[in-house]
Amino acid sequence: MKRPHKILQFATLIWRQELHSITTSPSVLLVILGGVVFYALLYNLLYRPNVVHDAPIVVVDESHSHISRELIKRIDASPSASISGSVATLNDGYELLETEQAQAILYFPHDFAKQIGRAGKATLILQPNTTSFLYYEATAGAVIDATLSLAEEYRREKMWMLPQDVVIKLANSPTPQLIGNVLFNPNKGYADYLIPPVLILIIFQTMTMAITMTHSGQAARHTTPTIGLARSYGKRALEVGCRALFYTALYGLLSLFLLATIPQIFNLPHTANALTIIAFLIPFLIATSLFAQAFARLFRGGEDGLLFITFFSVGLIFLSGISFPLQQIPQPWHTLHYLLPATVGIRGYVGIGTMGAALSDISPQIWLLLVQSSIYFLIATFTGKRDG
Amino acid sequence: MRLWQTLLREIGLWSRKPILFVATLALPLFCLLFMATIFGRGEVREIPIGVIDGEFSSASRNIIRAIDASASLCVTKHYNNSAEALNDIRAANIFGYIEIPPLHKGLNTNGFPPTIAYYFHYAYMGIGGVVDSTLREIILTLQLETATNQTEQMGVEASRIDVVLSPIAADSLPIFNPTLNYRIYLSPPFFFILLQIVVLMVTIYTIGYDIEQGGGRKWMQQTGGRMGIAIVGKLLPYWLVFCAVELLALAIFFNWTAIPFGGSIVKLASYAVLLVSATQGVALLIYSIIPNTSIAMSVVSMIGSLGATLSGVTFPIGSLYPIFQLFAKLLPIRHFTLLLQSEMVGGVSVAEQWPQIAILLIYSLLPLVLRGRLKHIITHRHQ
Repeated sequence: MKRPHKILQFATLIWRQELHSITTSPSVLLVILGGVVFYALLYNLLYRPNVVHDAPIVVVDESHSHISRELIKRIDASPSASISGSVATLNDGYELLETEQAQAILYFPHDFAKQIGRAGKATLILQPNTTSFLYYEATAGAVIDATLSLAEEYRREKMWMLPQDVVIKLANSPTPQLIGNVLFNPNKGYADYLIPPVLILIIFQTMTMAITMTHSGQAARHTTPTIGLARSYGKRALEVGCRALFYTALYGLLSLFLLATIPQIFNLPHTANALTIIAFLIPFLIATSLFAQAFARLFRGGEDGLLFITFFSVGLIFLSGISFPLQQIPQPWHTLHYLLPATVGIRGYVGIGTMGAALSDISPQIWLLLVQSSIYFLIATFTGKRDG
Repeated sequence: MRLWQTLLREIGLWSRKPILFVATLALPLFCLLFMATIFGRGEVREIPIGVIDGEFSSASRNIIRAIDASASLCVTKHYNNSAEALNDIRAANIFGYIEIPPLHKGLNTNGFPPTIAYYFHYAYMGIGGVVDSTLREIILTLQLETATNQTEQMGVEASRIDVVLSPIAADSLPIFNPTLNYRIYLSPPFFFILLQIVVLMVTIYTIGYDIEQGGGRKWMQQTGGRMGIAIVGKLLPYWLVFCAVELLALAIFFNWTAIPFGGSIVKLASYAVLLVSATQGVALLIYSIIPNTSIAMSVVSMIGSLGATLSGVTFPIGSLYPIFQLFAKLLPIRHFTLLLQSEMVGGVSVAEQWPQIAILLIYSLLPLVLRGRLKHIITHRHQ
């Protein structure tokens, strides 16, 4: 009876000290509350437009024809692109492209419309800028869609080029329907794609920062309780475990805001039920809190750790494999993907949150988080100076 | 002489606080290694997709052959129904699938099934875009080829039927990065985005650490109270290291890894070193407003990370709300990104780049305006 009582007493003391060190440090409070609330709101507001609209296209129309004007009208009417103006020459267009006043040039050659009445094909030339992939997709998509719809209408006018039996055959063989279906992110929205991973990244980054600020090197030795239990690795293990539980509970509460409220407010993809999210979140939060404690062992002062955390947050998105296929990331980085709770967590959360995966579908991620937890628990326990 | 002494003092700080030197040199080098290699060759290729084939007809075999022949996609698995394919998508084993219904279910259209449906997803946006565009292109090409083959048998040459079926066409000639290579698209700008975060953090850290260790007064005494010398002496060693890594990055990106570059490398190198001094200026501005190292570092970490969004590389600035478009203009990295992209694409005259250059210069000169307040902080805090 005596030992469990001491363990509970020790755990309570650790939790009280954690609460005290967080609530009395403005910088840690700023990181946890400011980071979670500010980042979550800010990134959602930033990406709220969700899709690219009115990507500017400049026109060089040498044909001055009814067909070119009709095409320009249809492109301008599309939500993703707009005609920003017209210039006399391609060189004028390139200048606008280089200064980002336009994102694509639409060029109609002088004989563009004449080809409709002849045996030729009316071909326009689109020169999109590719420095922004989203602008490229917006401009190319709008022009291709408008061109295909107008081509369909002008097909009749070309039938004179074919013998009658071929025309009859074509008339009896309607064009096969091609149906592209977008899953999970029906608006093809950038916020719907990026915000779920960012929410996981916010948890990972703010927790790692907070734990590093309060528990690296000297700071940790000042705050470790010394009562009751023997000065041993066992005590250290208990301390690491208690701290992990504290941060798991704290971020469990914050996740109510991040992963339940925020997706509702901003209408993000939100396909998982509460139990599935909780089942994923527990190993993720434990792995992150243990990773952060192991990471904090590398540094002597809180700010030292900060130097090394922030710069890499952007890189974690690339390492998660959601923007570029994980299979094609070179092996050393591919291996690093499996070692970090953030990258594995992003894939797991996108699976259940955006794609409606069941827990069994993300079991590889859950297992990885559990393995990571074990590794980082051992590192946090057996590295650095023992207390006392 | 006073400048030299200040420089030596700063380098002495590195020996007492080696982690500062590690952060100054190793982090930018790590950023460079990461961004130069993370995307491999940069082309999205052989994305696994699935097939639900109702007929195993020659048309469906042609479709599967064409998909496998494309560089971007490969068929890795066949499924009996959509539920099976969807499960594999959710487990990220495939990134899309195509459903070819049995021919007898509808009117035969030139040997093709009446409808062909394909599914892709935008939970992984870039990959979804490649699956969508590649499948659409493959199927449309095959449809046209099939129609052409059949009408050729009736004595009509292929070019003629092509003109009839597609009387109006758009030739797309993408400028700069026609293969949509991720390394070309993201590696150079994101190296500088990561670097500016390091510059912000290191600048706050070195000043804050020095002051909080009680070295502020000694630092000022060494310079004879002249703030210009104090700031230059403090920040110049870091500026030199960051600039050296930037020049190495430019050589690696545009020479060794052959990322296309159409502008002037001398101009770009000048803008890059200006980015470092402008970012140091922003860090000084923030420290002069919040003279607490931990809090200031937390704040610049947020501002630095925002650079990834507000540089405009991934989501266009023009599509953001006006307030955020305005905020983007406050960040040196946004202006540098514009300069970088214009130089990469083809080079724009300095006359057209001057607004961006002017803003980077203004930020670089910010410490002059702040020198009074900074001097007060340096000499009075933690003494």
